Amino acid sequence: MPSPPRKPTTFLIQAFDLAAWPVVLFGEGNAVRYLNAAAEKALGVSRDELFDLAAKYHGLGQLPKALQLVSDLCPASNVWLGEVGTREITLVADETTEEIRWQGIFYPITDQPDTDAVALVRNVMVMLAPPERIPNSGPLQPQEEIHATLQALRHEYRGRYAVSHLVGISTAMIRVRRLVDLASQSRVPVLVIGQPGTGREQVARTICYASNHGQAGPVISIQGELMDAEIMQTTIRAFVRRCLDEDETKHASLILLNAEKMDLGAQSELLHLLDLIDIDLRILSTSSESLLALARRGQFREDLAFRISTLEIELPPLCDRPEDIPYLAQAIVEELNVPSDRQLQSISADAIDRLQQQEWPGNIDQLTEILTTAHEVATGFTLDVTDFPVDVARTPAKKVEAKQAESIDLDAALEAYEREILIRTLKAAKGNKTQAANMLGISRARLHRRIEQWGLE
Amino acid sequence: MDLSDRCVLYEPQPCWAPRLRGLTPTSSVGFVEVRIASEVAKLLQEDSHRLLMVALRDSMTAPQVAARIRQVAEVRSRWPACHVLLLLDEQMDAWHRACWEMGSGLVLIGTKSLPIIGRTIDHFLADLPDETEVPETERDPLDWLPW
Repeated sequence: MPSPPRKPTTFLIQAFDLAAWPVVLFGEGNAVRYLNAAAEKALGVSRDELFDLAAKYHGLGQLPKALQLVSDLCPASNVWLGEVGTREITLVADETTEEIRWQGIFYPITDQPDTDAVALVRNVMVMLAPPERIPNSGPLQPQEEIHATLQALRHEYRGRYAVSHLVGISTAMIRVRRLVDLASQSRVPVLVIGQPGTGREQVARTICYASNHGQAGPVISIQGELMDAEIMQTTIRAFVRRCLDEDETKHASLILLNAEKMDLGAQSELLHLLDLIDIDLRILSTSSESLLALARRGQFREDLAFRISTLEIELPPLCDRPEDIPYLAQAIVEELNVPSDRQLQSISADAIDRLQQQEWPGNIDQLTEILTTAHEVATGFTLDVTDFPVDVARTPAKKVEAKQAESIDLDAALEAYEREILIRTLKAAKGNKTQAANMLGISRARLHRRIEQWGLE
Repeated sequence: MDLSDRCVLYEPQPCWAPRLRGLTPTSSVGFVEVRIASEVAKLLQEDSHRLLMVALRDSMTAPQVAARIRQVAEVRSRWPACHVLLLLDEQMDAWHRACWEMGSGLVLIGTKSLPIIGRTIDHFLADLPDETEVPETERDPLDWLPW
């Protein structure tokens, strides 16, 4: 008796299993339905680990390895509309190995492939091939280009906002890193407090990007000083609507910069929206001082201050942590080296000393500005004092604080004041003493006595 | 600095400029139109306390949009006093999230957002420090003298 005919898909799967090139099959909801042995080997994961995982190329935060792989392989939207696509895919099988570049071929499997009618794409087959084997893939389709560009941009941002980029060995910075780590593992509202230029936004963004996938969700950043009730409502509502349309996730994050500068209307609207919207919106705000302290002085809504200040992370001003300056300076110089032709290796000990002697009212931003200028003018491989702008290179700006006086001499203070008035009046009278005495309503003799006493001639 | 120099519109081809010219705050104070990126950097080097409006068009290629987003993020990190508005065309759905997340500025989509742009510019101008105001420490203790 002849055996029943085997389903074509069985043949296809058998063929895939024997294929030397990695093959991954995506099904409904962008979820992985199958991968062959070559794919298991190339990706460094087992079939079970990837099975049923849905690809989301726009995910924020540190993705688990399997999800990251699936997201890297995610087909662009045009493939699901029936177009064959190819693009370069960069994969990191595990942290110890180097990046591997593949040429990805995305082939839609439709239910009616031979008809001109609109066919429903049931599956997408992704085949990975070494780029040198399929070198001319042609220009990318716009959707594929957007997809690949966004993917690259997100990788870049994850690298930029890592906890390791919060540089410093001071106790304060070690504490900041610990708190950032803690905050990235939860969804409590965080308020980053610090003077302008201390890197408040960097800390807030790092919390987002260091979060586990799904905890941060989509992110929106807004400037407090530009907000009023209407702009707040329009912006947040548009963002939330978009999140609900695109994602099943109910989480999102709001980075609120300069929260203390929000007007009362915007504060009330934000509070109202937090209760009203359908997603859990986590707020990471930055402020130059504690919002609770502002609320106590009646300058901020107390209920909102309590709501968004659950965890306060205080960033110390740069002048309070001079021990961090060598590390920060080196990190900034290395950052400046990346896009530049100039490759500076280090900073001289004298230059570091000079930097540590500065006041830094503009904190890290000011340090970055000075090093950017110095990087542009530096002639050698080492940044030296002479490369700094003149005011930094010449003298240390740090002032030794005078001891606070415990008492004042009233007579001396009044005398100094009187002397100033006299000088100003003599100048106004162009040295005419009679006129100056008239202007001050005193006798000419008294004016003379004073001029002699203080040697104003 | 003149108020008209405070608002900068960066777009290689005029698209938003005619719309913004008729907008209430900019029709009276005006704005600077910039076509190339280096000019943006030059203006911000002079004074970074500006409102930078960056246009992203759906006719731009993906690497061009990505480069613009990257540039905006660099502007924000290098000149934190600079406020950024990203002005997007309606048909740029794929970029909305990236702009919200990575653009480091307020994202405004399509012509219907013109009233919001106007209000934002108003807020920015109102938030500017009064140039005639002298800080307490620099004030002359004898400025009450009539001469």
